Amino acid sequence: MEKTLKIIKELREKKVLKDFSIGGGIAALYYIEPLLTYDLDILFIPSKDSIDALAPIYRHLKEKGFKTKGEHVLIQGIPVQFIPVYNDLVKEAVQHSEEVKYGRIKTKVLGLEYLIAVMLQTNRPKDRERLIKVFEEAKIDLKLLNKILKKYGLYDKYVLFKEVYFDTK
Amino acid sequence: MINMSFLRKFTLIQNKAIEKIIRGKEQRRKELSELSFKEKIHILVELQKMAEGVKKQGKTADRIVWPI
Repeated sequence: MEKTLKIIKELREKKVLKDFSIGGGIAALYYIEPLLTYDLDILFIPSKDSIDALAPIYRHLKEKGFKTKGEHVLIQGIPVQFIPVYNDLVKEAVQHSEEVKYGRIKTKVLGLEYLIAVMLQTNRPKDRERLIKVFEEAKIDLKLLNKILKKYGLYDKYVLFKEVYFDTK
Repeated sequence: MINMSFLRKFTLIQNKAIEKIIRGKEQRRKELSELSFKEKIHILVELQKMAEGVKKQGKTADRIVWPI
C-alpha cells in the first residue's frame, strides 16, 4: 500500500495530474470501522483540460510497467481506479482534502464533510450503507457539513436521509 | 399453563442481555473506527481474505486480495 501511494503521489510531482485525493470506500474506511472494498478510488484534477483526462495517467503508468485490469490500474498489485473530478462539488472536495499519513507516506483523503456530501450526491446503495456508519461513528463538523450541503443543493436530501435512517422526523 | 410472571421476567432479562450485546457491538465499532489508517488497511485485507472463499463465481471472481 505504501508503494502504491508513493507512485500515485509521484503522478502529482511529475505533473501528470494536478491534484488528487483518495475517495470511495477507502476514504470512508479512514473515518469509520474497516469495511470490505476491493479498489482504491483516486479522484483527480487533470493537469490540463483534455477530452481524455485518463490518457496521460495510463500512459505514464504503462511506461512504468503497470498493467490495467478492466477499469483499474494494478499498482503494486492494488487495483486503483482513477476518476477525474466530474462536477464542482467533487473538484472542491479534492481541493479541500485532508493530508494524512500512511506509514511514512503523506497522502490525501477527502475531508469527512465533503465525503458525506459526495456520497449523498452519488446516493448508490453502498453510499447509503457507508453514510449510516459515518453518521454513527465519525465526528462530524455539522457547521461545515451544512455549509457544503446548502452550497450544492444537497441539504434537503440530507434531511430526508436522516429522517429515513435515523428517525429524526 | 403459562406462568406469566416467569415469562415477563424472562423477557426482561433477555431484553437486558440484548441491550448489553448491542452496546458492546457499538463500543467495538467505535474502537475500530479510532484505529490508525494502516491498522484499518490491515483489517481490510483480512476481510478480503475471509471473503475469498465465497467469491469464486461471476463478477466477484476478479476481486483481488491486496498484497500489502
